[in-house]
Amino acid sequence: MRPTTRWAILFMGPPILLFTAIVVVPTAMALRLSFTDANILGQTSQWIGFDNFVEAFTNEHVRKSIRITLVWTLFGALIPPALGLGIAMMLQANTRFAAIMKSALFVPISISLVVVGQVWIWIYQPGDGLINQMLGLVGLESLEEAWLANRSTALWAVFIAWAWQQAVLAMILYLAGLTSIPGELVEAARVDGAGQFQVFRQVIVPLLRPITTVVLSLIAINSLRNFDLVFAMTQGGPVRETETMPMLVWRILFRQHEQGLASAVSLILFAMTLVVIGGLTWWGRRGSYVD
Amino acid sequence: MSTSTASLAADRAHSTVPEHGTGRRGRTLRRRAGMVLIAVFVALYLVPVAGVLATSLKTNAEIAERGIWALTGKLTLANYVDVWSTANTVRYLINSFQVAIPAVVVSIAGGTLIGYALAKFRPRGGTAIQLIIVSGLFVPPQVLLVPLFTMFRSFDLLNTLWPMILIHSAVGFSVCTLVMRNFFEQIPDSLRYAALIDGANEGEVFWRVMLPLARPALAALATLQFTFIWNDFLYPLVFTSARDDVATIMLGLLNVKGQFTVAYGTQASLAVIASIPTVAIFFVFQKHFVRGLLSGALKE
Repeated sequence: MRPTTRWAILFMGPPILLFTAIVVVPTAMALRLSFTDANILGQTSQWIGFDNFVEAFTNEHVRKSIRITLVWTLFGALIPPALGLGIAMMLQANTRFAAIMKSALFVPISISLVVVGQVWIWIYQPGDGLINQMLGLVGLESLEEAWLANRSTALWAVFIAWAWQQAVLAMILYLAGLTSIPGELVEAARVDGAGQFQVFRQVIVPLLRPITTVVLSLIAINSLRNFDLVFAMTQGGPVRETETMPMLVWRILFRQHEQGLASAVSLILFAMTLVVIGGLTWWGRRGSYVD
Repeated sequence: MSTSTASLAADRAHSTVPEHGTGRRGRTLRRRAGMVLIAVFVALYLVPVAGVLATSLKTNAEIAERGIWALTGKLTLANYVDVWSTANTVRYLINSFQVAIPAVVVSIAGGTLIGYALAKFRPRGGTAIQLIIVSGLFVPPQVLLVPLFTMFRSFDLLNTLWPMILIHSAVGFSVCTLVMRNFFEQIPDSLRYAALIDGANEGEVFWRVMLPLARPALAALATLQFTFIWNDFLYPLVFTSARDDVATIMLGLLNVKGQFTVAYGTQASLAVIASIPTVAIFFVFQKHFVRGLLSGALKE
């Protein structure tokens, strides 16, 4: 055995054992569960092959939650990164003023989604909610709404609260990315006659591509596993209009007690995550100038 | 770094001046106006944050009378005194620290050891090991809940803090390994060989030479992991729901929110108390955070 191999085992052995016990083995157990009809914890269960997956893809609630999760991920990949980049461009000057503004904007990303959910409920609620108060102030009482209880607005209401927080994550990463762009490149483009917008499109956006890949990956993961905010704000309601896949898994587990089906749905979500991340990684490599 | 930003900023200032020129005074005026606009934008963006703060400082009676967003009224710390002395707040906070501190330390220590071994010892099968550990980032927590529940129940660990400590430690290896492997890859091997020739063993090289270099990346991970673990409520909800005295602060907050008898002012002050540790850590480590995260997230 090479001496470095011995050191490698010494270094990696204990953490890998813990990781295996807490992540790898349970994932394998979930895979096994997904092929059974397990429904009461600890009871013996029957092997039923792909029935849970067939059920998952034909059940209207599961299909709806897949749709909600995909729509969320798509808009999640568009709105928070765009907003975050906009704010980062606005605050990129190296001044004391910009630094103070940046620090203040760190707050939304450091607070819990329970707190985010709580305050956005107060913004959306009927009666003394902020939005309805503002509408009342400008004489638009007719537009007042119970935003989180209305089937057509609930999903977007929760999404906006989430995007409000995630845009800050994108901003933080883009700010770091912008400082790494050489000023000479921007200058050169200017000398060549490029306007503000052209510099942004032809120089800044392409150079930010590696950062964009990181931003999109993080936000995609957060979109796909979006449970906390939905749980804190609507628990999937009204009438399952905000039931994302993790929220649905929760419901199948703790209301219907069908562990087999819940495992199948959660593994479908895992597979979707791998596909999305794989796609983003491919996209990031394809456009990279380093290759 | 600073020069390029400065020149970029200078560029932008220059290009916003109209061609016919209004001189230095016009430029200053434009900059001032820009600052005002930015400040207004940031203030509007932070209205939700201000809302929690303001609500926590109003009396419940006044909120009931005038509504949550009313701009009137006296400010008082009564809600804080109330929450601190009556609810289980202190217990919740202690529980959260008892989960977060060990889990942050173990996840970073483990991730650093794995990342270092992968980057510097390059063991056979290292790529496969890395792939498996980093894929942990993509496993939805819901996949793990049932098997872990069965497991912790058979070890009689339900309704203790152990499930959270163990899960956050292990799940954290994924991001910590990714960041630290990328970090140690960038450190030239010659540094390690030089120390080895001087008679140090691999353990000493790691501890005395490499680890001190990694301080910014470690600070970034500590911020990230602490925030993530402190703010989590899924695992406490599943594994400790039966006993209030082992609830973390986030679970406590969630439970209070569910009770309609609890007034807004009380909820808000508990929310503020729950947010202080992570907001404080972000303020202290923000420079490290950004740089450390990028050095790990972006290769080369």
